[in-house]
Amino acid sequence: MASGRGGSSEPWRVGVLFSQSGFSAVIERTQFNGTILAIEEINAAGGIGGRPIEPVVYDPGSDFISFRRYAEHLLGEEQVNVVFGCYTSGSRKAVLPAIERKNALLFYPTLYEGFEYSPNVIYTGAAPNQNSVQLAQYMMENHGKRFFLVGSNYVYPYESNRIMSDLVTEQGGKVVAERYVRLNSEPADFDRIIAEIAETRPEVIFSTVVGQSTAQFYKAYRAAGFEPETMPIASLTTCEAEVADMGVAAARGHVTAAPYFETVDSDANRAFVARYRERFGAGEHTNMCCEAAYFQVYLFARALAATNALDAQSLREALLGIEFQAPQGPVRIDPDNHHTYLWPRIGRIDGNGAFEIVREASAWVKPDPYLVTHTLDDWSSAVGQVAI
Amino acid sequence: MAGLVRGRSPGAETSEALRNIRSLRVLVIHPHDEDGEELLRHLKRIGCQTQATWPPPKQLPPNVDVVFLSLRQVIEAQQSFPWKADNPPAALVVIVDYENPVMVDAVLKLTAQAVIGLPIRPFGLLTNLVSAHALFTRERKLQRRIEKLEEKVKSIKRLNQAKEILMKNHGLDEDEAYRMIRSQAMNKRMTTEAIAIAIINASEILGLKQD
Repeated sequence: MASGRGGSSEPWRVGVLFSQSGFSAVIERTQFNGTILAIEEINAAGGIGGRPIEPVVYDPGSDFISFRRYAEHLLGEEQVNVVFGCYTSGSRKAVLPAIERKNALLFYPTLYEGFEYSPNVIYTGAAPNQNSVQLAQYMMENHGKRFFLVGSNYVYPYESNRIMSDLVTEQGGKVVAERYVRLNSEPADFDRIIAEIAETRPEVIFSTVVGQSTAQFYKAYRAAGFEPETMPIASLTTCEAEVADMGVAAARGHVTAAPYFETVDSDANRAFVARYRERFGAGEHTNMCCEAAYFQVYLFARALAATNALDAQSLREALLGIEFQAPQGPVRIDPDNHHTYLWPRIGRIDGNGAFEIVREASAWVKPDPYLVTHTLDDWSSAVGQVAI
Repeated sequence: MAGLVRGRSPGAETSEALRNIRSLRVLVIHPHDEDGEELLRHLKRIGCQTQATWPPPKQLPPNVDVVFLSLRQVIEAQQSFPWKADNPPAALVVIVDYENPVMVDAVLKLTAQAVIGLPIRPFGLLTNLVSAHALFTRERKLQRRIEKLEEKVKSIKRLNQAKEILMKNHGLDEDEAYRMIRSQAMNKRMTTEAIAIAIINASEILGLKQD
């Protein structure tokens, strides 16, 4: 028998926790949209076992305490057992205790710094071995080995910078500075950093600045008259959403590593982008976090179709090793670590604000979230030049 | 806040203990149950070279860096577990499910470097593993240094005793006594310590004046 309350036409209720306001809303709104689009598509196709999926939605407003409260509310009063949500590691850590205590399941559609495994989480964004390594290699081959690190002040940038520092020094490069700004930054917070960049003239700026601070930083860079040709900003998080936020002028020429860009050349992706725009507006853009939010609902739906029950134990068993044809290419949940096989890519923002894909993996890359020491040899065979 | 953030200086390399984690050889001494399996799975996720064994082995296999030991079950198995607490062969992480004084006392007697609780949770394992191994390595380094220093003190004592004997029996001053020992050592291609021991032994046999 199916779990949940009531008869066989009752909807499958699932929690959705993405911020519609606050510093990371700019990206979380697109994760929310990706989630809703997938749910609507699945429901339009008849639901799962004849029952529709019903999203129970709360807006945590980019506030970690609200994330925790809403997670507890969803798992408590709302009697939900599966939650899609979270962007920052801070919000994930905030909801995790509640998720684990209730033995629920969290689907987390965001790249992060690795070093986590919970039996109650499915991680569908990139681990560092699926984006940091590729970015380091591309930047050092094409721009140089003197790196300036700028990040938002929290755990994801610390760990990402540690990995980047190791990769750069391993190759005989140098990290000239490592600076942090608060999450709720003001444009003026970047003044000193811009001055330091002008002074040290690095060849690459590695940015782990997230949320609305991203646009502030790229705009400050442009206002200082720096040239992306000689000193680009390289990022793991700056995607189509941030580009729209900052405008093409500030974004052009900079580089991002991600498993997905809106410009991925495949039928599955073109169809995804078309449906996304039809649903949310012609001016809207997909991105890596939005795509992960989208395909993870399908992974869930496949597992649910197999279990016909919402309990974490049987869903988890059905999810491990499961595959899906995502817009970025086929993806698979690694049965050992609950992270996802993904397709590393490098994109450079062109004059229209779109990511020109300058490199991509020729095969999916297995996630290795507990890899401490990354080396550039690990992936060079897997990611080749794009034939242009 | 800034102090915390800048705890990692720019370009600072990751600690060796952490970088080498995938070469760590880990032995799990734990019954084959759900906790044992969860522990093993997570150690493999971390990427250590891991093996598990139960019942406790009579002898620890060679080349083990870290041992995870299920304390209560080992005690209940009423089997002597060979663990030289004053000179352990590997880092020890003890797994406990009780905190009563009997168990805590057993942890202390084993001089474990880290303790984890049951049920096994992936969170915290990595930190405990790395920190236990680093602590063990540091302890062993200190132990070796102490041994070396003790040896050195002994050697100086012997040299002084030999010098005394020469001074008393040959009317030499301290410098002359030392030079004599050193030239003997060089001629015979022996250490000054070996010569000092020879002098002390001979003086005992010959009944020379010792002091």
